[in-house]
Amino acid sequence: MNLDVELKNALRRVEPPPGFADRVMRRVAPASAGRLKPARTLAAAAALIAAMLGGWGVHETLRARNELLVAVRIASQKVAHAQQEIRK
Amino acid sequence: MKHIIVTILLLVPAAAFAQSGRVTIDIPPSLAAKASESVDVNLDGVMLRLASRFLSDEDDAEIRDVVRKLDGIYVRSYEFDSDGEYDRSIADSVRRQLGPEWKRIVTVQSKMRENTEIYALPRGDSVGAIVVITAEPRELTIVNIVGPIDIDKLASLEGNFGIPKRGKHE
Repeated sequence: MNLDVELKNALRRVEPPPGFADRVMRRVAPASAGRLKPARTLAAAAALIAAMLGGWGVHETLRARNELLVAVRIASQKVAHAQQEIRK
Repeated sequence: MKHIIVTILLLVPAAAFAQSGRVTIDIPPSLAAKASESVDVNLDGVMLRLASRFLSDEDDAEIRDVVRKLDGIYVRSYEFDSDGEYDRSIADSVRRQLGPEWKRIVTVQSKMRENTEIYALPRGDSVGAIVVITAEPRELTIVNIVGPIDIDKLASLEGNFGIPKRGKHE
């Protein structure tokens, strides 16, 4: 048999066995599900940044709350003391 | 002559500022380093409203009621371990900013206890701002509250911080 014929036989189109495509898709699907698409990556990063900024905002607000309580405590003590002295 | 003009130019904006109820409390940063305890609070209207949201509905209701209409609270308070650690001109610089609209409503002078002055800026029948200056040998406290304030209600809050009201025990 000459070389041309042998190559043609070796490279001839062969139909896949029944169910081959389904089996390939089943094996590929779990692997791709684990990876995030670019849009999802961006969304995840945005959510993380928002959470960090939100945490910072809460921290600042709590600090302001504590400062407010300290300020009101000092102011009320000074005014109350002055009022008591006047009433004596 | 130059000095007089410069002084006037510096005092005019400060006086205009004070008519809004706000005073400039100019304290050298080195004073906090000398103090055994120091408090530096600057809360404008926006921060006050944010901070008020985190006050408890039950325990802090009275505090929220007093601060809800305010435009700002500014406090500088320093305590020292020994006498005469601060420059008394700091309090004078605050007094100088208070124009004729401001009224000194309380002066307490005591040899043994703290000396306190309370100034109020009248707005109609109510008070639009107050300045409290307490100057003792070992303590300097300046409070500026901007916005409509009920002084009696503010004084009544003293007992809300775990400190018994003086009147109850005297």
